[in-house]
Amino acid sequence: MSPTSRQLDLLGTVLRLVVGGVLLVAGALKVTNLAASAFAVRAYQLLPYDLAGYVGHALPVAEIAVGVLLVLGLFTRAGAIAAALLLLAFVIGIASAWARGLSIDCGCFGGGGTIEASRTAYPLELTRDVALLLAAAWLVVRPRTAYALDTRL
Amino acid sequence: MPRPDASAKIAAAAPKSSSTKVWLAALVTLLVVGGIVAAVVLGGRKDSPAPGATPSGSGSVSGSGQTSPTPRVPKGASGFGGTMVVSQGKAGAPTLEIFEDPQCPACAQFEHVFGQVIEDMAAKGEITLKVHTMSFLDAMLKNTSSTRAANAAFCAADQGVFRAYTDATYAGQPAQEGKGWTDAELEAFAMRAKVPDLPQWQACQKALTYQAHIAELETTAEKAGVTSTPTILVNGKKLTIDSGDPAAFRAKVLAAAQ
Repeated sequence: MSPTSRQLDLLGTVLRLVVGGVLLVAGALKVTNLAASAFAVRAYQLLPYDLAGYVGHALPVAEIAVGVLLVLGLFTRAGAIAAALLLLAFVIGIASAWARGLSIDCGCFGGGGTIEASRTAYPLELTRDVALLLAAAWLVVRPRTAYALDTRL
Repeated sequence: MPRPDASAKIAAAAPKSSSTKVWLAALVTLLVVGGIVAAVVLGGRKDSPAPGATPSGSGSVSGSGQTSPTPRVPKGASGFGGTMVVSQGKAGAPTLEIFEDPQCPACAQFEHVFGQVIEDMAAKGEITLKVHTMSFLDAMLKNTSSTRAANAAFCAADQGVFRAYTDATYAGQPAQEGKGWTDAELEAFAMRAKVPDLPQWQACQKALTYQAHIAELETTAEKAGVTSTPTILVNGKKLTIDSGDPAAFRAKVLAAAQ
C-alpha cells in the first residue's frame, strides 16, 4: 500500500523539524562567539583569510534564520533550498579537509580548529551532514508538510 | 438553464497568498540579510583587537580606541606582528620557529619535554630560535588570558627574560584548560622569571602595551596557515614530532635543515 498524502505530509514535518532544529541549534551555539566561528572556518584553509572571516561571522546567523523558517514551516521550499546549499557546502568542506589530510574539528556546533588526528570524526560528521542534505532535498521536492505556517497563509 | 457562476468559489479555493505572502517574504529576507550584514560588520570590527571584553583580573583588554597611532613592538620582535627572535644562531644555523599559545596545554607539554634541549641548542648557537606567540585560545575559551599572558611575556622580553617568563606560564598553567590566569598570577610569574625591574614590568602589563602587536601576531600566523599550536617550523618547513626523546629532536631539527 502506498503512503497516503497525509502520511507524506507528516514525514515532511518530521524532516523539516529535524533539519531546522539541527541548524537552529548549530547556529545558536556559535552566534555568541563569532571570533571562534571565523577561526573554525579558517582552519579549513579553503578560503582567503578575510573572506573566511566574513563567512565565519555570517554562517551562524544564516543557520539560525534557515532553522527558524524550517521549524515554523514558513517558506518551506526556499528554506529547504538554503539549507541544502549550506549542507552541501559543509559536506564539501569536511570532505576536502579529510582528503587533504587536515586534522580539524568541523566546528559544526562551536569549537573547531586543529585537533589531534585521533580525535577527528570525519565519517560521522559526513554521514550526519549527508543525511541532513537528503532530508533537505526531500523538502525541496515536496515542501508540503503538516502543521506548517505555509498552509495558513 | 444557466449554470451557476463558479468564479467566486474558485477564487475562494485558490491560495489567498499574494500580498500577505509577498510582504512576509520581503520582511523575512530583510531580517536575514540585515542580521548577516550586522554580524559581519560588528563581528569583524570587534575581532581585530583582542577578542572578549572583560578580563578575569583587573587590567582591561579594551578595543582599539586607546592604542597609540604607532603600535608598540617589544624588544626582540621582528617588526609589528613579527616573530620574537629569542636568539641568533651561528652563520648557517637553521631557524627553529615555535608557534604557541600561552593557554595551550600541548604547548606546555612540548616545552616541558623539549624546552631544555631547545635552550641548549640556542645557547650553543646551533639554531636561531624564534617564538611566534598566538592568542586564538582567547576566542575558543572565551577569556583574555592568552592576550594578557602574551603581553606579560613581551613586557618581560623588554627586560631580557622572555623565555624565563613563558616557562613560568607553561609551568603554571591551570589544571583545567580555560580557567586562565588572574593578574596576580601573571605577576607571580614575573617574579619567578626574575624580571629585573618589576615596577616597569607592572606598568607595561597594566597598560597592555603590546595588545595590538599580539592581535597582529595572531593574524600573521593564521595567514601563514598556522591554525594549531604548537607548530614547529625548521627553516619554514613543518616539523612533525614523533618521539619524546630530546636527543632525537635535536638530531631531527639539524637534519631537517640540511
